[in-house]
Amino acid sequence: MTPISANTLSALTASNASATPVSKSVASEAIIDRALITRVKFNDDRNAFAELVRRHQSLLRASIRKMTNGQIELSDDVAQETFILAWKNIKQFRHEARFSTWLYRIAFNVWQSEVRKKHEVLLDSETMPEPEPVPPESAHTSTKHDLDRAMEVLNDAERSAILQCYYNDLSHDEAAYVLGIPLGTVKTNILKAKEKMRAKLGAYEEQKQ
Amino acid sequence: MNMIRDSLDEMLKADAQMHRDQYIDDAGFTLRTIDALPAPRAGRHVSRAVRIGMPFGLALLATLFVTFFAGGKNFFIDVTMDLATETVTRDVVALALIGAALFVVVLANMVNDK
Repeated sequence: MTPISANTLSALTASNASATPVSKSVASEAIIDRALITRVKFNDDRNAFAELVRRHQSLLRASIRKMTNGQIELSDDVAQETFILAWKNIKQFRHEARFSTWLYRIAFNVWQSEVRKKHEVLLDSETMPEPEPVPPESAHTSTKHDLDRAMEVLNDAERSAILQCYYNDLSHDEAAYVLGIPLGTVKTNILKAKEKMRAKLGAYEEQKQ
Repeated sequence: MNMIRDSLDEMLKADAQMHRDQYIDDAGFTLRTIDALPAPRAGRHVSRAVRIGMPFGLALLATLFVTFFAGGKNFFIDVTMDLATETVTRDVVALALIGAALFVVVLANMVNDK
């Protein structure tokens, strides 16, 4: 693999930092990630890894917050553990998936072991603390509230499938990789989840009328 | 109900887009994470295959060593007799060295695993 100098990488990262999120192309993001990962793999470069953390922390923490039903402290602990495991195992990362997808996979496994450790049942509202209040946004808030309530009827597997495919914007194949389940199971879980959510949303609509 | 059937996908996509667009400020998260990373290992990393092979290789060398010094005698019975009579012979020293070497290799492996 052609080594990439620190200067080239800094230039790439700097130009990327000035770009708006919309203008960032997936390809250039992947190139920068790859260069940083190479530095971490071959030089144990902590600065490069710090850059990776900075680049991915927001999306990962948001995703985990959704997974933990809005528990900010817990989700940050899970996110930190995810990055530590990524650091320890980065030599096993073969670029078969995007780095972010690999992180989602680790995060999901960390969260699952956390749930097992605490003997909690995911989405059991009796055992889960109340989500932290979200400031009102707009007319979207009502819809969002309905969606959140509709998602409460989903079981762990269905909720995880919706989270990966919609909120993490992954393909069904990528979701199967993250969740460690067959592709067919992901599709089935999505279908079941949507059916349940439609039923729940339908009930809300009737209540409103 | 039909409207919900048609719009659920759109609702989910719109909510997911808002979720992704919401930037979570780093606020020291990266620094805390980097501080929590395990320290780099001192010295050169030895692969698992080499670490497993080391005790076996040493055992093979020890066997050759013992065969060479025993000169056709029964090494272990002789050493046992020497130890029982508290006599320090060349064979006893050889066995002690082999034992110490194996101990060091096993200890090194345990440290490396941690």
